[in-house]
This record gives sequence, structure tokens and C-alpha cells, in this order.
Amino acid sequence: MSRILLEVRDLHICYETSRGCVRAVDGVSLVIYESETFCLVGETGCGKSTLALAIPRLLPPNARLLSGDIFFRGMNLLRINENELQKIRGKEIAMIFQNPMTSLNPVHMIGFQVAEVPATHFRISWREALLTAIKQLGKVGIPDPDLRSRNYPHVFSGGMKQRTMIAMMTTCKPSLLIADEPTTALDVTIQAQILKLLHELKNEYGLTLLLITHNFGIVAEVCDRVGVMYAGKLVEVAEVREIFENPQHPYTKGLIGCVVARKKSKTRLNQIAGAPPSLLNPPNGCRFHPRCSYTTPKCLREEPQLIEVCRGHLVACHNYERVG
Amino acid sequence: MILTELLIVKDLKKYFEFKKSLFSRTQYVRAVDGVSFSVEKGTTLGVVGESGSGKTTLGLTILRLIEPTSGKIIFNGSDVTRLNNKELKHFRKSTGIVFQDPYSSLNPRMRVKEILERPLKIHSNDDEEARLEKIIKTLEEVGLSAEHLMRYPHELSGGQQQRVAIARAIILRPLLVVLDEPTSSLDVSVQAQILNLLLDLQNKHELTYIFITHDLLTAKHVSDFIMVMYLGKVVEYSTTHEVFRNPRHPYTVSLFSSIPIPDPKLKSRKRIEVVGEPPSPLNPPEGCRYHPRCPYATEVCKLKEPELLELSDKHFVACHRVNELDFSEFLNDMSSFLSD
Repeated sequence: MSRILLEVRDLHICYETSRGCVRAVDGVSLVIYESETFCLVGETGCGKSTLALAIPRLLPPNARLLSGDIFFRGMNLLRINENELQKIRGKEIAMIFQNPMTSLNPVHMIGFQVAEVPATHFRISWREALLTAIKQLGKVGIPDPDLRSRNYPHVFSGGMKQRTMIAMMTTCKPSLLIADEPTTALDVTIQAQILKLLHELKNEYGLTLLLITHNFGIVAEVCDRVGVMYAGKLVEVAEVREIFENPQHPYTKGLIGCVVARKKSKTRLNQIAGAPPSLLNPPNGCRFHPRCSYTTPKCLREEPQLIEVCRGHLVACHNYERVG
Repeated sequence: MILTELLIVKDLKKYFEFKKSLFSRTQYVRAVDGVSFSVEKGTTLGVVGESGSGKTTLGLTILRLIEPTSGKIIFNGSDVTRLNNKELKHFRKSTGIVFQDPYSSLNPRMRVKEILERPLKIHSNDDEEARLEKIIKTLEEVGLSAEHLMRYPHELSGGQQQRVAIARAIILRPLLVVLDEPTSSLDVSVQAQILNLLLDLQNKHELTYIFITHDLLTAKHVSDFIMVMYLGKVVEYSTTHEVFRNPRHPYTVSLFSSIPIPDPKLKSRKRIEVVGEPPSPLNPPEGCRYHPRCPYATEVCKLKEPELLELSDKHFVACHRVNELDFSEFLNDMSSFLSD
């Protein structure tokens, strides 16, 4: 772990809805180092996808960026203009999404869609771009890439569509690849193949991977460092072993207790009482306090800050000493 | 021994007709192709497989929600495939089902009270007061309360919706409940709540479950027996303990290799890599259906379909090479996760 590749500073994003402002990301700061795999974990609605979308500025129109900065190699992505950003998107920062069915355009051939990326970013002819695309399709494990590049997305299986997305996003050898639940829609055997492919590409190109998932199995298998999000906040950041062996935040500890594989069969799992709060009107103080078993009066009043409890291990909890 | 078996399924087949166009030859999707097993009262059978393995079709066929093509389903001593309408109604009363997506399995125009009242109206002679009492009691059993009675499904969270679906399945005190991926669409913390609820209900009412899932670790957590399916066939079937401690079919072992295990220490364990994707059930491979993806396949696997044979007590495996293969190198690292 060496140089900082991406730095998010005190980011606040909200969605304008008819019922008010949903504060999906509320003061998140984090650092991602070059060529590491960083995992964002959290449950539905905790803001992990919003945070990921904000990096290449792909947020939907009803999202409002309230404040904060995102530095990519020292450049503030939130301040540069659309032209400069276009040079970075797809070339330096690439993104793959959960549902490969909806990420591909159904009316264009696979080869065309993949070739568009190098054709946009490099001064090469369309023929060369197509050749690059076919080569890349072969690289991600599409059989007969030459033939298959003339197929339309609907004839591809889910796994092959996700491979196509990966091919598209890696033709330019980006430095940062953001993968938002890339395997959730796939079968376990295909999931293992895709994770392996990502791992190989990462080693070959020296990619930095920002992986978003809710599956602790995937976290353990592929990540170097983990950030746990809850209700729009980052509550814990640590190396993957630390997260599993020595979680310091009650929420992380609770989540890990929920994972079935870590419990004896037919016994009750530890469960976190209640449900995540609405982000329209989140609880005061620590957002986890209504579900937490360590709550003290201080948790109701004061919001805990992310502090470093030991080297590289950050926790936002007033009572971490009692939890750990 | 026979008395304790609540459900016996013999050579069950379900083929779906499929025509590419009006004039083309009728083809068959062999979704479930000769499946036999039995479930003892009060136990859970975990049915594991990837999409297209026929596990959902199996669940629906057992409850006769779709008609089987052939085979026998003996539930509590009578053959479900031969029931007349009146008997079928009685059978419906003693079975329940919970689906994967709770939102699409609850009628959006009905309140929770109406959803839970339906089965009581159809199957019992209770008056309105008795019905309401039962509904509230069941709601409390699944961790909801009377305040949810007048809510519509969209006003509930995913976990609460699934609780309503479970309440609907158990309100008539059925003997058998088919759970078709009941936790896959839920978040981890909610998943744990629902799994705990299902285990509690089983202990309390001596329910028998058929738990359909693609997640081996969840199956391990809730099941007494595990049945692994691949393209409409059973490839391995035994007690959960045996399947996890001593898996004998290459497909089962490759599933163990594929599942991400939540322990960073096992990151670099030895694995069998599964190549390719599952073939279409419309045109399954000749011989052993797994042979194109199996690293151990030989000539015989391409030609002859292996039978499901009893290897040792209650351990069934369908593989030609079952006696030659040794998977210990893949399993040793994982032993802490695979045994209880």
C-alpha cells in the first residue's frame, strides 16, 4: 500500500424527493490507496451505491451534491468541467454495475459497444478499436470473441454480459475500477469465475478496485481493506482481517454475527434488533443508537467521529473500548 | 420408520413443452427429471442448486401448484398426484409456501388482515371473532403485532413483508412448508432475523420444511438433509453433516470451492474451478449432465448417465467415478467451515 489514489473528503449528498431531502451520504471521508482492493459493505439504503456513483459524477438528476471534495490523483473531480471529466471517465475511472442486463444497450452489437470506449479515448481508427475490443473480449473469457462480437446482448447469458461489461471497462486499462455489486445477479459458480477474472485483471493492469457488496463472503475473499457504512455514514474502516477478527463498531460486530457460516447449524443467529432508520429523518446523535446494545446517554446527544483506534483501524463509536 | 416419513417423492418428472415457432417440433424442457427422496416429519430438507437446476419447479410440483408429468408424491400416506378436488383442498390446508420476493407474492390491494384471513375463510368454520384472534396470534408469532393489521404490503419493509408471507403459510398449522429462497432478497441482518424466526416456528409447531436455496451456507444452517440438484437431476443427497463433511460428487465440491467464505484466512484455499456455464435444460448434454464442466470427466461420463446410488447409509451420489475421486485436498482447509 503506497500512494493515495482517491480521497473523498466530507462528502454530503442528498436526494430531493417529494417527502423531503434524503441524506444518502452524510459526511463520508475515506482514502483509497493505489492497487489495493477496497470494499464498501453495508445494507440496502446505507448510501454505498450513491457514494460510488458520485466518484465519476454519475449521480441521477434528483441527487444534490451539498458539499465535499473527491480528489483523484490530486485532481478535484467535483470541480473540473465536463470535458475534462469525460477524459477520465472510462479511461482512468471505470465502473461496472450490478445488473449487466440493463448496462448494455440491447440494439447494438457487443463488439460495437466495447469498441466505443477505445474509439472515444484514443486517436485510433474504428477498425483498430474493433480489433482492440475483440482482443479484450477474448481476454475476459468470451469464447470465439471474433464471432461473438457480432452478437446482440440478449443472446448472452448473465455471466457473459458481465464479462462484456468488464471487457468494456478495462480496454483502456483504467487506474480505478468501481464495481457495484458485480456478482449479485449471478450464480455461485459464475460469481467465482467473475471474481477470479477481476482478481487477474487487477494483478495484470495494477488496477485499484473499489468493490461494493453486502456479501461478507466476497469481502473476505477479495478485499484488502473494508469500509462499513450505516445510514449514510462510514462507521468503521480497517484491514479485512481486523474487521473479521476484531470488529470495534457494534454494527460491524452485529453484521458479522449475522453471517450464517460462522454459527453452528440449527442454532439461533445473533440478530440486530429493528431495522435501519429512514434517511429522511435519521436519529440524533449516533445513527445506530436505537439498535445498539451499548448505547449510553452520550450516543443520543453527540455524533461520534471516525477516530483511529489503532494503526489503520478507524471507528466511529463512543464506546468502542467496551465493544472490542 | 415409514410412519415418520411425511413426504415420499418417487421418480418425479416435470417437463415443460416448448415450441420455437408454431410449426416447429415440440421440445421439452426437462425441469425436473426423475427425482426421488423422502422427508421425515419435523426435519428440514435443503434443496440446493444453481438457477435452472429445477429446484423451484420441484417445490411447486410437490405442492401440486403445477401438475407433474409423471411420478408419485406421497404425502402423509396418500398420493398427491391422484387427489380429487375435495381431497386436494384438504391437502392445501396441510401445506404452505413462502416465495423469494415477498412483495410480489402479497396482493398489493389487500391489507395484512385480509391476506391472512383468506386461508381461514376458505379452510375453517371460524366466525369473524375467532379468525381475528387467530390472525393476531399468528402475527405475534412471526414478530409483528396487531398494529400491522390494517397496513398494505407496500407500507411494510421487506423483512416485515416476508414475515406476513410466513404468517400466511403457517396460519392453518400446516404439516409441510416449502420455503423457496425465503431470504435471498433480504439484507444480511434481516436474513438472520427471518432464519431465526423459521427455526423457532419449526421447533414450536414441529413443522417440516423443504428449504430451496442457492446458498449452501444458508442450507447448511437450517437443514437436516441436503439434496444437490443439477439440471433437473439429483447429484448428491444425504444428511447435512455428511454432505459437508464428506461430499462425493465433483459438482458439490466445486460448489464448496465457489462459495465465498466469510473468513479471510481461507482466501487462498485450494479450489476446483468450474469452467463454463450451466447448459440449457432444453438440450441437456448426453451422459452425465455435468460432464462438460467436470474436470474429472472421462469417456464413460459422456456416454452413460450415472444413476443415483447409495454409497453408504443414506448417502446417495450420482457419479461414475465416485469411488476413485478424492477431494480431501480441497476440503482440508475448509474443514472448520464445513463441519459443525
